[in-house]
Amino acid sequence: MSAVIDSHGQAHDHHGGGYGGIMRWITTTNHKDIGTLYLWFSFIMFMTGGAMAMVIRAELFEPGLQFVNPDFFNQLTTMHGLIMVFGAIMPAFVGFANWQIPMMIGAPDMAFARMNNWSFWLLPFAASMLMLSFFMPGGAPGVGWTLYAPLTVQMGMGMDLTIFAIHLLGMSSIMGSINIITTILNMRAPGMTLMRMPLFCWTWLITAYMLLAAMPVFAGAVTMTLTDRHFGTSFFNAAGGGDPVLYQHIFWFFGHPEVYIIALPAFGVISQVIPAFSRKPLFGYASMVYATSAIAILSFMVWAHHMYTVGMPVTGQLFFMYATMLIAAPTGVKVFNWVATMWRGSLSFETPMLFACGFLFLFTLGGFTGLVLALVPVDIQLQDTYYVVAHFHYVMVAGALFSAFAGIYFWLPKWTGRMYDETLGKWHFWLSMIFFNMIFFVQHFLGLAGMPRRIPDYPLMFETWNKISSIGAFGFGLTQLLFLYIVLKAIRSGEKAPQRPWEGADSIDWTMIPTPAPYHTFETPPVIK
Amino acid sequence: MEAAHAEGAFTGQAHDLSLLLKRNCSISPSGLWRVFVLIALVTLGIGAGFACFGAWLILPFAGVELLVLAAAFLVVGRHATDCERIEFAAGRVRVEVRDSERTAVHEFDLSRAQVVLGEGGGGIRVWLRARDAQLEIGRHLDEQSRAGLATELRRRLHGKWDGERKT
Repeated sequence: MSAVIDSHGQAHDHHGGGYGGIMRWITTTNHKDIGTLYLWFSFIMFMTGGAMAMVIRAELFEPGLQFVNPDFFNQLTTMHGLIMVFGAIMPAFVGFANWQIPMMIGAPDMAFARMNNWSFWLLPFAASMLMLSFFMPGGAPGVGWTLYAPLTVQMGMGMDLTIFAIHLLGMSSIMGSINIITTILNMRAPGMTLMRMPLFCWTWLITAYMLLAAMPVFAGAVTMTLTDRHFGTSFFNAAGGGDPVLYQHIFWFFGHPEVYIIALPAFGVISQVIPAFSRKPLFGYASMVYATSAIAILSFMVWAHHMYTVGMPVTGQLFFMYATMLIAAPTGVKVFNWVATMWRGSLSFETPMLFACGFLFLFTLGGFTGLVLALVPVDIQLQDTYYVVAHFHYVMVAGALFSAFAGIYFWLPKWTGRMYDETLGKWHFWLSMIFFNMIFFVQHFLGLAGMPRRIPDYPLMFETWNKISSIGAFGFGLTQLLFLYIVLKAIRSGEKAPQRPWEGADSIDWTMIPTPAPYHTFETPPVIK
Repeated sequence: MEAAHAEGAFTGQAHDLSLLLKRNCSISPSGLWRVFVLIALVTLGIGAGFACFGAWLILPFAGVELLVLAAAFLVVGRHATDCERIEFAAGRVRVEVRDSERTAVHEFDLSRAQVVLGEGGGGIRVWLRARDAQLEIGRHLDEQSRAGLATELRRRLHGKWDGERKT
């Protein structure tokens, strides 16, 4: 006799505690509900952070001060960064993880369903605290998303709210990571060995490890900032014998892995999308797993490339320069494998594939400018210029956001049972692609010409590129309203999706689960042959 | 949220049976322990490294995180090897029940053993009963599979439906 059965079917009959309406969403422990909550929360934060970017770009449309004072401008750049990184991009990928990981490994839900609920519901409170900091005396912190000391010691109450918000966000991330690690390690269906998992699950497993390693560092950093502010310590306050450079080391020890905490799940999404639309298995699966692990390990060894200009021994500069350039090797393996997957594949270019190709092209450009910035002599010239702004937006927006769009278009039929409007989806892609490059490609020129970041005013010589960048930003912002319309239209009146709308999609979430995915899936775990 | 896995084989004569009902745990408790040690070494190593440079407040956060992780792994790991092994041999029904670190063996006379179906908090429940002793079995299975288990055991035991319902 051989059977695979769920021992706790009764435990999740009423994920929302039997409630309807809003209480269903507050009390739900269903991984699909929570995934949906994460994704909508992420979109709201994306629009909030995006609105701040619009004000920033409006101010920078021409030289002089037009709309906001310099202090408020700094607050906007700070909150834009914090909200986009911690409120928009990270929760988006946690949303994907919640929806997809159980369905991809044959598990009925996440390992700790109630903790999963709590992980999500910390986020709105954290986001509220971040936003409320604008209304505190002195406003929100205007120190940049890196929260460098000693400026942080001088900020008003908004800084304290931000610190507590970061603690809440960190708690959420840690609980989410524990849930993901436990789910993937312990709840895979019989036959679903680690090396047979879809790569998206692998990237999330490694990301969750990275979060566990990095989050206490950031929590410690902001707590030391808090004690410096209110409890008389001098960790980072030079006036009391502290060392502000120590803060930079601590922050970037967290901050650089954070880039990959965002990028690796994006790689996972792309690794699902490209094979599906190439109608070929992913090229070099094992090498992708090893490359992902190598990137994760190396990401903890390169933090000081953000700090060449604060002073360090030449040997230190050389070490961090070469270590940073080394990351190009495993990243190159991944890019090569994605391209090799497409090579001689039966390609089609529906919207998810378009965004995946956009990702591939633009993320590679972002990686390349990262290599440029890794070079000590070059970085010393470009430190804190718009070249850096352009570089990390190519990684964050074209890398993470484009892959999130690819993932949403790819899995929307599975989640909702409805197809999106393909024509509008393609419009969304092409407009995003054009406007994105309008915003950020020209910022390379601004940086090379010497325009510093985080300034509300600039010399006349920078006006033309700034105008183009700002027009691109307004276009990009409006284009995302089109995305909202496409998603809502699909949910309300989209065509009924077939079981497998993408014929090349062969993971078990497509092959073993009906479309749309029912509320409960894999109560009886499948046996993977 | 757990899933269970039943495996085993009906072997030889009609009354011979060997059946293992266990949770679906894709990592062993020792495997979880190794993962924990790895994460703990890295996390504490990072915290200790920064403490050496004066930033000691990272260590308490690392410690709290590891406590939560340990608790989570403990919850998962302590029941990872829970199982029921049901064997028919030499005129006896032998049921070995492993629950956390405890293992209990129950034996029933094959000629007197009955399979009893009842309703409980989790839907259909199954008992193995002989005279004044009874033992619930199939606790790791879902309702449908428990019913299937009861039917199969009855067929093996007596080849008939005893019709008894327990409430």
